[in-house]
Amino acid sequence: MNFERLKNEFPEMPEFIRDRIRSQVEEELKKETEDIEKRKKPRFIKRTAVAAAVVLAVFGISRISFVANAMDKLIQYITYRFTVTNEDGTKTTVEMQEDSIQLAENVPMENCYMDDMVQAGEQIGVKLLASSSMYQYEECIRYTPIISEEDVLFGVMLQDHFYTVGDLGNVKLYPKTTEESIDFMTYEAGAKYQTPISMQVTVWTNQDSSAEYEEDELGYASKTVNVDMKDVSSEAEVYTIPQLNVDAVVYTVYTDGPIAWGIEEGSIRCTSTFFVYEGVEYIYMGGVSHDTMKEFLNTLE
Amino acid sequence: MVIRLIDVCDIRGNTSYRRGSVRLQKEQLGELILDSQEQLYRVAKTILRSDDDCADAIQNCIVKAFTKLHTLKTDKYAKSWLIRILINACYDLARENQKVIPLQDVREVESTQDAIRACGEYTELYEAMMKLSETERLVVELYYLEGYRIREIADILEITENAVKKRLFRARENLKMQLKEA
Repeated sequence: MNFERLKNEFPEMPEFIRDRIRSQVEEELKKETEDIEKRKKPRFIKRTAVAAAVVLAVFGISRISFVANAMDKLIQYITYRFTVTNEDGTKTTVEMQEDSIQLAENVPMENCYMDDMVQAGEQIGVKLLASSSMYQYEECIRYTPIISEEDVLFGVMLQDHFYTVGDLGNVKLYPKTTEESIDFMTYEAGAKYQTPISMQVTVWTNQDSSAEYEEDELGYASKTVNVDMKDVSSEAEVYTIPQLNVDAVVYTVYTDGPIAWGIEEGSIRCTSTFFVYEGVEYIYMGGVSHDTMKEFLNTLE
Repeated sequence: MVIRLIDVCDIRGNTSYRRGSVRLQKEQLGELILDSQEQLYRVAKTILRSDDDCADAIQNCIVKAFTKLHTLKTDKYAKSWLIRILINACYDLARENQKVIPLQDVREVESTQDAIRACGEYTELYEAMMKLSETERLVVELYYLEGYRIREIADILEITENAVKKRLFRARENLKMQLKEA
């Protein structure tokens, strides 16, 4: 049997498939260029837009564009009011107020990495919560200053996608090798942890609080964002973190998580939590149960 | 929950996740896809009959390849990796299609086969190959047409080398039988 001739007998690739391949490749390469361009620009976030982002992201929207608001002034503080419906039908409302906090004068104005939350806290001049169960390695925490187009610092954000790995097995870290790359991890699911727990902490600065507000902006100076958790998640509850004596909203989300988690099989059930402690916003998310998330919250101090 | 938003902005589309020293960049992946498009089509066509399905599977494969570029350990295996993604994309599509098979499609498949038989464009060998089971057809395609080695096919299909050999053997036997009958 002469199989070689088979190659010539295969139907020729139709032109429309060739066109689709070419345009899809072009599109993928274009995406990259756009992303690089975005990264080059300083992050520009309006606080009101962040408020909207919080609400929208809680609603499960994975991609949100920050739209500059007509109001340029920084608001003094923002309050999140979460309403949770309990099993017996009663409602619990939790208010969390994020304050504008004075940051250290020499706070970094460029993206950089830090080794732990204590170091991060010292560098920005704010005491931050840290967990004793942290999975620590060099430069594990990504620091991002939130800067306006006029180079005004609005706040800082700290992120770690592998903040704790719990009982995950065969954890292997592949650290970033360039400024543009990210850390990557492989692991096997444990009994309690399906993924690491990721962390995001945001601190807003008050350096622009002296700005004069126009009359119509005053209402916004104490913005309250109402979030009814019934619309967000089928399972949401309020948990009081005992050692901090602060209420956290703990709720179920279905997500494929950050790409650093390496989830390939689509969305998985995760637990997310949001709380404010001493004016600082804390968000944790992981492929764990509510109880495991609470256990983790109990390690924060 | 700002976390998702930051993930998307900062991490999705980031091209240089590096686990090893030699890594394929997006531009190189683009070149590889364009250079291998004929091969991609042949592999897709081996699993899927309709050209529309082939186009969809290849398109899904391209999107996935760019998204999952960080999972490629070294560029040495890039082509095999790409073929594996394509095969999975083809099977995904075939599974999806199996869920609902409109009567019209069944008629189309029948008429396509009739057309192949009627037009006489293809040799008996090609027709015989198309009558093989999907798994046998695929190893024949990869081994004889694309020139992959047994070990490479085993990697691509995520089966043992022995399983590849068995499938090839069975495929050859079936082909011989069909050709004899013809």
